[in-house]
Amino acid sequence: MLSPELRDAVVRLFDEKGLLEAVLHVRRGTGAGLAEADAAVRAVLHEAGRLPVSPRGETSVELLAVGPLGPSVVELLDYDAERYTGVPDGTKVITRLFDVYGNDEESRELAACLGADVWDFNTHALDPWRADLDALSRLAGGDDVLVRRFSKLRAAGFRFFFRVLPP
Amino acid sequence: MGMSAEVLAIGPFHRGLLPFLDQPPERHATTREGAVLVVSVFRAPEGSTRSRELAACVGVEPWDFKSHAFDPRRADLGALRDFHAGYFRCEEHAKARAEHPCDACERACEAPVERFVRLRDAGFEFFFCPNG
Ligand SMILES: [Zn+2]
Repeated sequence: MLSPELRDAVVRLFDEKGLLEAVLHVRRGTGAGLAEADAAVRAVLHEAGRLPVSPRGETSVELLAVGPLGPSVVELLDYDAERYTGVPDGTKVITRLFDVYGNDEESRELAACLGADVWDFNTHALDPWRADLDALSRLAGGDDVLVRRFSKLRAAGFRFFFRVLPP
Repeated sequence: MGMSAEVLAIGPFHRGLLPFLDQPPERHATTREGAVLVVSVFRAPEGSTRSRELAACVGVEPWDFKSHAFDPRRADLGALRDFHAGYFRCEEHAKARAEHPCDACERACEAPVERFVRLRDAGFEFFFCPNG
């Protein structure tokens, strides 16, 4: 359970900056993993009437990127830039860009934004230049952070992968 | 809520890997040889101690990002077997919540290490992913 202060911050951040920022804020504040933070944020937003639709379905998917660390990408990864201090440029790093938990429809939408198909594994190694960035932004609730990260990592030569999580 | 961790592998599909992937074989009826997939190899969802143990098994430092894309030949297979020993139950025993493992339970515990070896030999690249 989140503290009252954190709950207020979640609703405010969601209204101002979108879902991803709210989730990141909870992760920083609690040390929670992505799945936990995502679930906690959704619960708060649901209660606050911001996310009226509860997760549906059993499909959980993820967008991952792999590529070389460098000055242009260090602020786009999963953790604060300072945690990458001492890691040489060019080191291969992996980052999670977006997750969908237990929602068939949203999983399908994420795949479609990326030019992939949830259950066609031939499409999961993505061609990031085929992604529909406007649709991606809409899927993230108008959140520009996701699209900014995606385009900058793409420009830095990262490889992108769509993944269906194990049942 | 401490750290959790997962080891992921990314590499080319081939039919021989069907028993070791994240989804049942029937999901891969149309997957072509060479299609690049992400596979979950090991998971330590339950906290920092197990996550640190898993990191040690594969020769990485949990929070040293330069060690996370790791060379699978450096992993300690014996330590990985110990890490999973007694950890899984066969389907029947999982349902019955049985205390005492049978042979099938033991095979279930060996499965993750076999998956790792098969993916390694198929040329997959490996990543330790901390979460926390
Ligand atoms: Zn058994």
